Amino acid sequence: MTSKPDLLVRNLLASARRVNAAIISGATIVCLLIFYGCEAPDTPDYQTARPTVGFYHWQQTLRPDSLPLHLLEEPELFVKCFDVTWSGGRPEAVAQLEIEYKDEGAPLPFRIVPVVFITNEVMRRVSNDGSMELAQNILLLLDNLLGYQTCPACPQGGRGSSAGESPQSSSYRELQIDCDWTAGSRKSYFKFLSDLKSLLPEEVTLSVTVRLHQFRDRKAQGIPPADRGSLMVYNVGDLNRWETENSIIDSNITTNYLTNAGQGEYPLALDLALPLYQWGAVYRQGKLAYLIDELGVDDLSDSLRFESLNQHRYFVSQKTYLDGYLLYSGDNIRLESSPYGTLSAVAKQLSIVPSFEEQRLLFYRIGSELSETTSASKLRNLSHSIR
Amino acid sequence: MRRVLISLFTLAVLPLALVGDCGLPLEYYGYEFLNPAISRLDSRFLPYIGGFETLYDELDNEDWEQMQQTDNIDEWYERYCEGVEKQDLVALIYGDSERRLQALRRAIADPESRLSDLEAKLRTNSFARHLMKYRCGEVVDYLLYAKKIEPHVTAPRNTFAKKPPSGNAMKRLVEEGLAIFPTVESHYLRLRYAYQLLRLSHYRGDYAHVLELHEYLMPKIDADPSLIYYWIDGHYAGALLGLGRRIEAAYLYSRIFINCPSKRESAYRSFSIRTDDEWKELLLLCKSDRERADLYVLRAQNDRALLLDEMRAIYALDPDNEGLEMLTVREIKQLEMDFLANDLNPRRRANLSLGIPRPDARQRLIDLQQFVLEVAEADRGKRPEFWELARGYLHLLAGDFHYARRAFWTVAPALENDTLQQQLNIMRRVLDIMAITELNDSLENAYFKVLANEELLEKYPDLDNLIYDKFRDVYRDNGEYGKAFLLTHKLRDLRYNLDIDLLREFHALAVDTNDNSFERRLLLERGGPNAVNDLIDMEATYYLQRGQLRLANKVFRQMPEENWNDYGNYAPFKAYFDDRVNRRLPDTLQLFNKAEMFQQVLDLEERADLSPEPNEAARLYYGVGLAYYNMSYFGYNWRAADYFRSGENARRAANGQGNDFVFTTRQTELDNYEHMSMELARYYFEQARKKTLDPERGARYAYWAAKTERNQYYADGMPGGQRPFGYFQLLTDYYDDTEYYRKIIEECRTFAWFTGNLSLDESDN
Repeated sequence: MTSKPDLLVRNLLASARRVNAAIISGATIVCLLIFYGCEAPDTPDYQTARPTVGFYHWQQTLRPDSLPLHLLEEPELFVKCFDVTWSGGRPEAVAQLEIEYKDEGAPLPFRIVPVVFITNEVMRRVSNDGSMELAQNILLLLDNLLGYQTCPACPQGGRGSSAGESPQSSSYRELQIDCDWTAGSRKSYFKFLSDLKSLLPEEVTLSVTVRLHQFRDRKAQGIPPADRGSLMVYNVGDLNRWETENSIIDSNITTNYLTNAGQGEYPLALDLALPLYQWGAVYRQGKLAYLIDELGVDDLSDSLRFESLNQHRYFVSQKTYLDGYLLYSGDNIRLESSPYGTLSAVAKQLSIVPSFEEQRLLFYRIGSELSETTSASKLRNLSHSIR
Repeated sequence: MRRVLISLFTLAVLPLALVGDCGLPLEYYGYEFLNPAISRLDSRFLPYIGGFETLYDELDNEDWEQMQQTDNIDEWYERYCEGVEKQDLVALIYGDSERRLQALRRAIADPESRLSDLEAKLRTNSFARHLMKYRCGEVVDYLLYAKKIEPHVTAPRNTFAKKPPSGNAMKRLVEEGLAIFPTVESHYLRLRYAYQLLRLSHYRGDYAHVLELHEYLMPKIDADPSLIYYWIDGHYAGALLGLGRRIEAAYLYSRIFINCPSKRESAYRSFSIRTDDEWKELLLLCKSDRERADLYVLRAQNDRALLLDEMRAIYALDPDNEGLEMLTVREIKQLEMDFLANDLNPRRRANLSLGIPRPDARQRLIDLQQFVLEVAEADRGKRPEFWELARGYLHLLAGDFHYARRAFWTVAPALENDTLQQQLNIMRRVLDIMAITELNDSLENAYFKVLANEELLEKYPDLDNLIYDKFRDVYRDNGEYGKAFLLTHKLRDLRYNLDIDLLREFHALAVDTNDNSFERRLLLERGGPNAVNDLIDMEATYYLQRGQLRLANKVFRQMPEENWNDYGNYAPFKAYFDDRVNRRLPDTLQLFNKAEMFQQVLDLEERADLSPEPNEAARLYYGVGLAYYNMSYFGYNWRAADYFRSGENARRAANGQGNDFVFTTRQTELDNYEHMSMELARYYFEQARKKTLDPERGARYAYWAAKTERNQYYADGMPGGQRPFGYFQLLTDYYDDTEYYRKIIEECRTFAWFTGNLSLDESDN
């Protein structure tokens, strides 16, 4: 449930967004008028509204001061809090979030939507009995990590519950689980989600990530028992192949997934997630050796060490360290990014996903160099392209 | 700041494992004989022979903690001149022993107290007894202090549990330790206190204080050489790293990596060089070429490192570096997977899908050969025999058997080290196996002894596969297909598609009384203890499938009578209107084993031939027809004449995909024969129909003949594209006034359609 003051703020923000959008993009106004023509006067707000722009934060240390928070259209950030992996015969929480803020205990300038990444292996191995215990442990750790976290728009205090009791309140309104489940792990994953949901206070939304293959092959992969989902529209190409053009985003590939193919609407309300990052994929003797995060053209400008093969591909001509990675002569590097043109094309394909009030367009990830250099208006334009 | 981030989130879409056709992960199959122990390293160094990162994936935190615990206990053990039991050290140092340690401390402090005053668990603990005897209060104080620190410096077992907010507590513990330190007499204990103090401050994140403490404490310690110095260095390096003094930190980590096995993993993980300039600075910081070479050894631990590149650098700096041998072994082990006996490897295609051999393997082999030759000929190292042996094995991998043999011959007299000698022996054996072109009884018997040598097989678990795979190829090349078959299959694999030549060959092998132990072992291993009876059963089944019932009967009866029931009991004489291949038979039916069943069918036929009574003869022929029908692919007793049946093959047969009723199958490369022939069944139903004078019986026999007509049409791939209805027409022409005719219309929709009693839409196929 949304509190009234918050709803008011949100409606105001939504109105402001619509006004801003109209001012910023004259061309968009023309298009909208032509498109909506005679329908416009009677069209309910939500049908013309576009998704709200938001972001994922995926690094282990959250430093709010260093983030381009002006890009957020709502005071809300999806923050990966930890990973759950399988180690030593049991689930283990690793890469736990650390928050470095100017003043420990000071309110954060945004709400956190905690995201927990769970490897598919955990879901394949966790026992029926272990599922509830895992759900309890995850909530316990989130309490430990976020218990003190407050923001003006959040209910105060921690979750105020111990494992096994029904919690009364929560420091977060939504919890997102990220797991690349498969048909083989689906049963166990869905049970885990149901267990988790049963432990969450009623007002907390449980959301899940949905990958493109899960969206398209929904009959085999199933629909997760959650309140809503985030359709992740990136990492679409075969990263292992040197020949791949851009594994991060490729509208020629996404078009094959973004089809209903007679399946009707996806039964979960879906937010949308697009990439906003770049990296360099290093290939050694034909095999993917490393991904170097945030690698750009400037990093490869030294022609003594890197020979440009074409716009995005380079040959390493002498042994060298690059950003902490030892590269050998003969290695190849392919730069991959999230070009605006491609994002725009993919955004149009996303019109197949039903819209709904409070739908979000999330970008992965805040803090990337692209998020630093892309303007808020461009992101809003992408959001407009979807509707 | 750019951070290297291989995010689980973004990588979750990457394939994690190659998966075979049936959904199971593919596994490498090949032959490995190189023993990493031939390199000159202590045994705990050996695990990282496969690349440190692979090892890291295989071991979890508890393994590393255990390794560190072992090191620590060994340290204490040496300090006490091995006069105490290790398990007693573990109990007091790592056990839940705080209360007992306090009791021990009180006892030590009390000059009146005696050993007998201690509680039983302390009295029986050799370490506690030792401390009590020599009144070592300092040691107990230290252990108690260390126990207080432990929760603040170790990760909780449950990673979901809340971490104690321990900043202030840690600070207090540092102060407490600093107060104790100057009072401690033992320099060894001072060293341990220093370790705990630096550790606490490091984990508190107070890096500057770590450096200050180091400067203050270390000059006050004059202990014997100890691993604890490296543990201290680890925390000192961590503080340097935290303060941005990356090069000094990297240098220290490299020294810890080389010298301290229990901290090797964390040192490797913490070692970080980001730029070429940093690397150059690090090289300058080293005190000797050996230390510089060690840096290359360290970075070669990356699984993706190009080893030869690093090895050349190591060799140039320190030709006798121990790491060079280890890296050579690691590279040869990869090449061993790429090349050793690849031409005989039955799963080389599956290996290819795993990327083995690697596309550049040939060039890597050539490059390594050049390097090894260079080292061997330069004779700069202390162990030329290692390089000569490596040279020989690389020749073997390259297929140059002559040069391999020569290298082995050259090195043999120089080998004094047992491990190298054993390695040479197995390399020579592999070479001998690879060079075999013909096999005879004496060679087979010789290899039987090798295969019976359990100790050898335990040491080289791929040896039997290599022998079998090689022999299979040699047998095949020399036309001994039976033996070649047995080397890759179980005897029972033959049952998919019985081959009479192989059956006879195996039978002869099984009853042969010559003294070839290898053949006997082979048959026993591949056929199990009942191989002879299994072969008889298969041969009888082969003849049954071909309609040669007398021969089948004769062959089956070669089996001892007491084993007849081991091959199933059958009741093929029951008539059911509908065809179902899995049918629960009534308990009242008489069951026959194969010998009895064969005889029963033969007797029925003989009685029919001789019977002067037409109706009786017809009834008997009908029984024979039923038996043949029910033992066919279409009948409920199909197991009497076959071992495997796939329903899918009926569709494939109708589509003309079979070849004389033989169909491809995933189960075996031999394909699968389905016993689909209806010839004999139809012959006997027709005989019965002709003989009988009773129209009711005639209608029944004609109907069964119609079923054979239908089955044969589909089994033969629907020749002509038009299903024949000869027997349906016969029924309509001659038996339309019988009760059985009306019953057929009721039961069989196709017949109902044929007779105009059902529209086409409603009819069966």
